[in-house]
Amino acid sequence: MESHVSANIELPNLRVECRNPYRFHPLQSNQISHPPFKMTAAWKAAGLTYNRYLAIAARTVRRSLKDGPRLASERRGQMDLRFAKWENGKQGEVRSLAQANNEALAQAAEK
Amino acid sequence: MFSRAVRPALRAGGAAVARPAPANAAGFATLREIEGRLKSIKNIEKITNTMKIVASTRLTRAQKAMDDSRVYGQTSNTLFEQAETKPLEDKKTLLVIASSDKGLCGGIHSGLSKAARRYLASNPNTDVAILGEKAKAQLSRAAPENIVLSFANVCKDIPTFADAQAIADQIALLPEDYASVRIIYNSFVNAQAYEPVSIEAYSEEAITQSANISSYEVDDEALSSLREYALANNLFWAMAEGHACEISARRNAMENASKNAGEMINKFQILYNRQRQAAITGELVEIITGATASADM
Repeated sequence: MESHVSANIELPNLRVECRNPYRFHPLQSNQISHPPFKMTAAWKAAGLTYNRYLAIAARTVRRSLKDGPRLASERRGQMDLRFAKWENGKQGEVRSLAQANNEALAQAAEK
Repeated sequence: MFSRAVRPALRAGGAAVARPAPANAAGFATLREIEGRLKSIKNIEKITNTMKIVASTRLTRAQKAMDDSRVYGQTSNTLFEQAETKPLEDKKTLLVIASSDKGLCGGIHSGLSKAARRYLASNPNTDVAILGEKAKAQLSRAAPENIVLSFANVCKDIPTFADAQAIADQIALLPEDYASVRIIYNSFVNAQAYEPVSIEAYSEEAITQSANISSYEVDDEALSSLREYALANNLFWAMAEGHACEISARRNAMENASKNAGEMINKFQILYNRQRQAAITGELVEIITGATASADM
């Protein structure tokens, strides 16, 4: 399953590398410049953490479920924590954790 | 005859001047007061009883989630046990305290913060990240300088793995490079006893330096992923187990509160009945003495 997901995620990268999009076939690994089964996956290159990568994969699986199981399982994916950073014994501003993680992700992607 | 008949009336009259006026008024007032208190205790009993029922229904789900999450944590820790990983001595440790936002569940939050304070007293060079408002309120007085992060909204319902992952990510973003992350949580011994214990999630360096790591084939790049994932697993375990403890403790606390309220209701009911009877008797005595006195005249 992992190889499948990472191959999917690598898709946009590969399209850039393959000059002719019609010659490209994602399941033919001989056309891929680096093997998709190696750990340097695109999610890491994109600045995702492993947890984030897992969360996205889990969300994808959940969304592709049938309606009944999907509703039940989507509750397991909810996260509405809030957090605050502390400095020198003072509590900072309380922010949404999801938002802060997304921002950190965007920053990591820029690097 | 006359003197005998008049004596109680006299006594009552004398008492009416000296004592009964306030006592009578006070007696009447206490009757009202007792009635009011009885009513409020009955309301409190209703509330605590309802909370107990709610906690009982949530407890089975919470316990199931705890059992499920234990598998995550223990499986992920098997590697470190087999590899005999030890935390590095020279670097900072991050202490994560898995408490929650809500009270009314006995002493489990203060047990956690006590354990944290004990740990901080022996290892002052430790940073603290707190899950939940309760432990935050307690530790922000004891050791505000050590706190680096605090999370709220934790453990409202059964904690999800998404929660644990988000917290692990935020912890990974901290600027300091920690030797290990030690999570303090309440472990579920049985329905009556909870014990603050800690599990550890190690840094990459600690993992590579562990005694038995050569028996594993570990890709260097996989190592940081492993670390993050192990932290999320352990957090999930700690949060789920802490949540089950909290619900169980709340059930017990509410059961005790209902029981105490029931006892108080009984006591006040008896007192109320006795006071009422005394008031009635007093009035009867007054009427009868009055009647006898007027019949004599």
